[in-house]
Amino acid sequence: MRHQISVDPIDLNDLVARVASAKAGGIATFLGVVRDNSLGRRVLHLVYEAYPPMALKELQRVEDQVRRRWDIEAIAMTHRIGKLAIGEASVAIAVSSAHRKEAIEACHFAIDLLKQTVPIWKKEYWEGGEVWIENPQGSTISRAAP
Amino acid sequence: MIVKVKLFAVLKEALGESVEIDLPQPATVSNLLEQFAEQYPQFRSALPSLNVAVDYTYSRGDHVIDPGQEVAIFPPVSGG
Repeated sequence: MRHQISVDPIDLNDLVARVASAKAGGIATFLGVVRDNSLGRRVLHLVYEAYPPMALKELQRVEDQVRRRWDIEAIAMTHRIGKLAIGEASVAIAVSSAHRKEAIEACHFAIDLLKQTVPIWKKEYWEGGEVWIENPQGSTISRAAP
Repeated sequence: MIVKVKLFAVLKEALGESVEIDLPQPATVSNLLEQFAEQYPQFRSALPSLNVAVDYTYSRGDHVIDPGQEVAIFPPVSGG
């Protein structure tokens, strides 16, 4: 399976292998990692929660949208869920294409769309509190992608 | 009809993994959200930002919910 929601640590090399193609001249990757600060607060760790069957469907939709825009060979996306420590990878994307431009642009587009539409939520735990985060461009009923 | 609604993130933390909402038939996504806010007025102010998914697809407004479909309500996403 090209796209995954997983509790296991992310291995970027695994995603690279999932998009390998003899036709590809380039593979672009993105790795999202847990940062130690947010809005001036010192973050201790994060917890991610997903709606897995819908998240997989929306990841496939991200791929469909990418393929409408760029001629790529393959794309693989994995989002991790559960408790993550500072520095651990929460999301990874790999895109292969014949030429680098398509792979890099498609990778950038894919992470932006993923953050807007894939039903996954992040809770930040910081010194003295915890809060559920909402992405500034995250989907709402009035803004849900068509 | 009684619709079992899956919840996520802040809604799940406050109300549990799912709630049951009693709706007239045919029922729309708007009917569902209005009844949800009636039952849980603490979330009425969040209503404009809440998402509804019917059978794993973002749905809104006049979209009709059929018996047996999987329904979920959740806040704006924050993956990445």
